[in-house]
Amino acid sequence: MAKTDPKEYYKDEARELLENIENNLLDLEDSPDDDTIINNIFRALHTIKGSGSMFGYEHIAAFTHDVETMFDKIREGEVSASKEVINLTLASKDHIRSLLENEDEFADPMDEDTEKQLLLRLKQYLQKTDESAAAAEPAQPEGEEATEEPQEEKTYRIIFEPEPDIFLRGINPVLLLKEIQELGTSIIMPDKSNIPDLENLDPEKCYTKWTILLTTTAGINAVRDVFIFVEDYCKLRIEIIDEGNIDAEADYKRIGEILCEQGSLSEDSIQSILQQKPAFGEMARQSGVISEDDIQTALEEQKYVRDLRKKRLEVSTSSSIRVKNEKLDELVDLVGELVTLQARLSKVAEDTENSEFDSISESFERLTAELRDNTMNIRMIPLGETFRSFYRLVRDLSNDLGKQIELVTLGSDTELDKNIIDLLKDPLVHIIRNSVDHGIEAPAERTAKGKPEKGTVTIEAKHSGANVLITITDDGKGLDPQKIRTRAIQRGMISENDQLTDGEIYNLIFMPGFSTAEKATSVSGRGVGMDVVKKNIERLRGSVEVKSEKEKGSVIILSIPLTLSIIDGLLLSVADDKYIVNLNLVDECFDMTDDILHDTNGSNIVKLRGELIPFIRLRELFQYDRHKADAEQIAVVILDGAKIGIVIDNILGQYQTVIKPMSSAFKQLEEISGSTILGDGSIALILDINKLAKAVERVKA
Amino acid sequence: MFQIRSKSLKDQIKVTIKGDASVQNAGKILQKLTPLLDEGKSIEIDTSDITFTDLSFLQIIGAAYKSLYTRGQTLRFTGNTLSKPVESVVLRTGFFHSKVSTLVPGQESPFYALVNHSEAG
Repeated sequence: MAKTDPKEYYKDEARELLENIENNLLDLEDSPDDDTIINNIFRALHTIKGSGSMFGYEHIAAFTHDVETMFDKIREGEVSASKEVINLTLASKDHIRSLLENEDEFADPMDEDTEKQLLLRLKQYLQKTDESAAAAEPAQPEGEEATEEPQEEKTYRIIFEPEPDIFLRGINPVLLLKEIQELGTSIIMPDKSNIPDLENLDPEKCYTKWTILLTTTAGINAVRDVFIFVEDYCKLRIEIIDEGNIDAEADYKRIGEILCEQGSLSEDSIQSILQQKPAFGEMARQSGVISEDDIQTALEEQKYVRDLRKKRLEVSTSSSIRVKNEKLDELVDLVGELVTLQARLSKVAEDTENSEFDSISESFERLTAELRDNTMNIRMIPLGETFRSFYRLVRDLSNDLGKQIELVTLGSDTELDKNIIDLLKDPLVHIIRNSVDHGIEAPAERTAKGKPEKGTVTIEAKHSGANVLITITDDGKGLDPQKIRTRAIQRGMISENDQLTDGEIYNLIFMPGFSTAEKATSVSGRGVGMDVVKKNIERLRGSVEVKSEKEKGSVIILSIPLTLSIIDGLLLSVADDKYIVNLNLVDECFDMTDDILHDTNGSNIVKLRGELIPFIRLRELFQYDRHKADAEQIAVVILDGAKIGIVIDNILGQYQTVIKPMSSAFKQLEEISGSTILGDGSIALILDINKLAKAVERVKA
Repeated sequence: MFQIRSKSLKDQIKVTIKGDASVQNAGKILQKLTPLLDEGKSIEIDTSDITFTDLSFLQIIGAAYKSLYTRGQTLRFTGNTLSKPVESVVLRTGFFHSKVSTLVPGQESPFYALVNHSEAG
């Protein structure tokens, strides 16, 4: 098995970090003072820079350094996270991504100018803040990257008590605390009890000491190194209080033990307090032996370590590893081969009268099905990540067009096969662009219509049988059937005499080369669009539908299959040919007898337990010229809540179906979406139920 | 450019500090604040134009808070906010951390409410 190239690993990680940066920047726009978000961005930039340099991406490291410096200033409160700063960082993020994809080089000579511009703007920011902070802190020497091997995450208790004259030695404890905070997650707990009242204060003396809890992968030496230049001027105690073991007890020390270890209380005092009975903390406080801060610090430590261990236990049960997409594809292919082989084995077992062989074949079938389901599940990922990337899209487009638009996403945890999600992104981008550009009106136009200034685009995902429905709704001006009709006539797509329903008119937008935009814009282009969207969705064996109400808005509904590779199918036969229908869609199966045929003057309708169900005969649909079968069966499927019947000669049973691409010979058969190889080596065709439903509609009409 | 000014109002004294409020100017800040204690009024400090600060300033504020409390007065910050450089040092040093301050046992810390940080809860 080929080893993963470390550079590829860096690129994967950097791509993920850049995505995080973008998401955090969009959040920062709403909460510009949120330190957690600012720190997340800073840390991600720091990692991209540090690892970039390690893996030879010097260009990326150098460029990212300036962006990181700007974020450091934001962390320090010297620069505010203004819209301009966010725009600049977003543009820088895009540039880093471009460098990353082009092996640290410019993809285009123009990119060199882009970089120069970005660096100039970044430098202007840094210069501005340096000037305003005239009495800036003494520059901290460029911290050397930790050379220690990365370790397991540990939690340290650091007790740091500077000598009173530390300020006079030119040491700023705030910078040391900052360095500690940068090593990992921490709680900084000061003991301020020695600060006197103002009359007795020497302003040049340090009265504060700290207990710090730090969780980090850095080793104890790296932690100690932070204090290397002040060790002679402070009391310093660094102890490991949590080793990061998964099997560590979730519980942590009692308050008395912590106070004793922190040096706030002696063993003797503990014993004498304990003799007095109830809650220790309260008694210790009342006894006056320790201060409020001591109690708070001990309680904080107890809570911190308990929470840490609890969280670790949770994470250990749901930890994950990163696997290359190609490896997963390979695994799915192998499972596909195994499923096909299993079908052959079942067939041979069926033909051979050997009960032991039968039993082995059945167990093998069960195991294969389980393996198949597990493998397919690995590739299922939530749509949320994809949805999140649309916030940036809508934000940038709204800015370009001078519109105010809010994007709402629902059902982000709905899962789909990763390969499908990858192919779905472009069509979704196109639909959203259309909604933003042509759907939502400019603020003034909206106000004039009595609508809120801000338009809304909603994207929602939900399960529906074997499919996922993705609905993109906007509250814009909606489609204008008259305009579409006129355009279609101009383009010769329909004639003036054609009588079309609104629904049929809306579907014209999916015809090649159709566009009603009076002027083409840079946002949604020149009419190359919805036809490509439709083609791409159909390539995924999905369907697309549009609904609209004038001045109220439009809805685009995409129906996408959960997976593209292996499904549970129901094997059907017509004459000598075999067909597969997705078993998840099948409601029930019957013998097609005269008594269930509903008498409606030749219409294809059956009556089952009082319910009328339209049906279609595959023999008629696919124009078999042979006579009708002696006996027929009907499989009833449910699609979007409606039932339709498929009449065939025989229902052969359940079949694990490895979906193979269609041979070009069958491309003209709209109702077929793929094929599969059966156990005996013959081929079965997979029925596209969406298309079949449309065929039923046509027959009904 | 460092500057400290005070203005005595009817029931409080407003102190405005500008520029570098670090240990370099700590003596000047102390000199200005100490005599104000005896005016028998609460003190409001405007930090909005402080461009740089350090621990010495937080200690002065803590000490002033302590002295005012024994005189039955309070210390607060204009608009109940801190300038970014001050807030940054409060966060770094953990001065916001405990709700109950040891400066004046049993009383709420003057920084706690200002830095409404989730960890402070």
